[in-house]
Amino acid sequence: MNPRDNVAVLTADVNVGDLIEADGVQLQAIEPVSRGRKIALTAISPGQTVYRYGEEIGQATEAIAPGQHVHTHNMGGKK
Amino acid sequence: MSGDFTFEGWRRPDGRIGIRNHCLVLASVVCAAGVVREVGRRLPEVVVIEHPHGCGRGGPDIGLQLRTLAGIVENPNVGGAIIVGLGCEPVSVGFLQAVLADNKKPLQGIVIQEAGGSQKTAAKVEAMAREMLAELATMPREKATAADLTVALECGGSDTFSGMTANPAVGKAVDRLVAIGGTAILSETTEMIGALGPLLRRAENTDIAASLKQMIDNQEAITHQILGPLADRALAPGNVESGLSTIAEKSLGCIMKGGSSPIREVLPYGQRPSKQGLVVMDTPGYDAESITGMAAAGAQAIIFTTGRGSPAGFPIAPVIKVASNTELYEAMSDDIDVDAGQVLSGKTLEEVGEEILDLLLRVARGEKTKAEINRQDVFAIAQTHQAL
Repeated sequence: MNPRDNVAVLTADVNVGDLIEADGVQLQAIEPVSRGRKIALTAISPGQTVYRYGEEIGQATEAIAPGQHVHTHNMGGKK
Repeated sequence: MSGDFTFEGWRRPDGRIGIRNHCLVLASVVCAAGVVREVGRRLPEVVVIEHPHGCGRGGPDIGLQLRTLAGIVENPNVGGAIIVGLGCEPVSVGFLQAVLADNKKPLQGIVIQEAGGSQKTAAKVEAMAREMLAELATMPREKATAADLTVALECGGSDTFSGMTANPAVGKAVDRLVAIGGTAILSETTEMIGALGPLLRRAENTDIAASLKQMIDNQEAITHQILGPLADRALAPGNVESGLSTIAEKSLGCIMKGGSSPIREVLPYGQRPSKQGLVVMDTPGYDAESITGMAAAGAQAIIFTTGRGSPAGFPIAPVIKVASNTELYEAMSDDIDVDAGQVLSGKTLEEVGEEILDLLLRVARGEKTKAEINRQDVFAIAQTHQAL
């Protein structure tokens, strides 16, 4: 993971309250999220850039809380 | 890894080395498809290529078709070829033979309208192919090394793990291959949209950087033209289901297959590299068209990563299939050669990269890949316009 990243890909399914560790960052899942999906590591405001691999993969389309599922329902790419 | 990068291959008249010695029966036009298919049924040891193109195309697409079919015949894995045409098509047998005039490998042509129709043509091609197979069997092999290899890089059915496991592991193998003198082709321009930054950082000089930018900007414009406001999600349903949210996220994973070597050349579709090392080819993201373009450019092997489970092979070049996750590797062991999902269970990218390079050398020495065993051949030529 890149230090700039504000999302991480889950290597296992998580449920509400499950503790997640991503390169030393610890947080709790606030909704059930499947393996392979992304979870927010920090709060991301609408319009704020979503980083993976240290690069821009899109922007939040609504407020995203840490531990929340990040996918097509709350982020989009460059239009 | 033994550190032994040698193998025995077939030196072609143009100096390139083949890792297979195929007798190719190629349809120049869709109207010859039934004949080449029949020859394939009678002689399973020949490799048959058919495609859906014929009339109703303009200049640029005729050019693409001609360059691609000629490049496929020239590919060093083809020992000899028989081209079957109809007789009234734009990319005719005569046209292809003229383009291939300097290529001294065994090459024959036959035209259905002159050979007495479909059944008589099939019988004649079968006889020609039997003769060619006997000739190919006598061709000696000579010592070659990984420096003689050009490898095509492809991904199909990516998932969110592709950019964490399979693609960067292939990148490690490519770094090693390039360091020992080989060549790798990174393609799929659609899957470079949103990844211009990291690609520009690897451009060997400002000319390469400008070509990369122009190529990706152009593809982005085409994608917007076709998909409109959905262009940021130029993804397959399976990509999205697996967790990829935008084309940029997919692209950033995709380009990791190229590793960290400098990008030395930017090629149009189907054109042979003139430089050794890592090169980029402008192809659609559509995997079948992309691998066809890289094989036409002379790639003797294809390294193909997949997260969802693509079984795609290619008629004249072995495809090495690398799974991004162990579940897929186990669920489709018939189709997958390497499990890069091991990166999530403790192996390093370097270790999996070594496995991939080691398999590439074994394949160059003759070991069949899963896609070769399955004969899961796909073949598709990129086109720029719809048929008239």
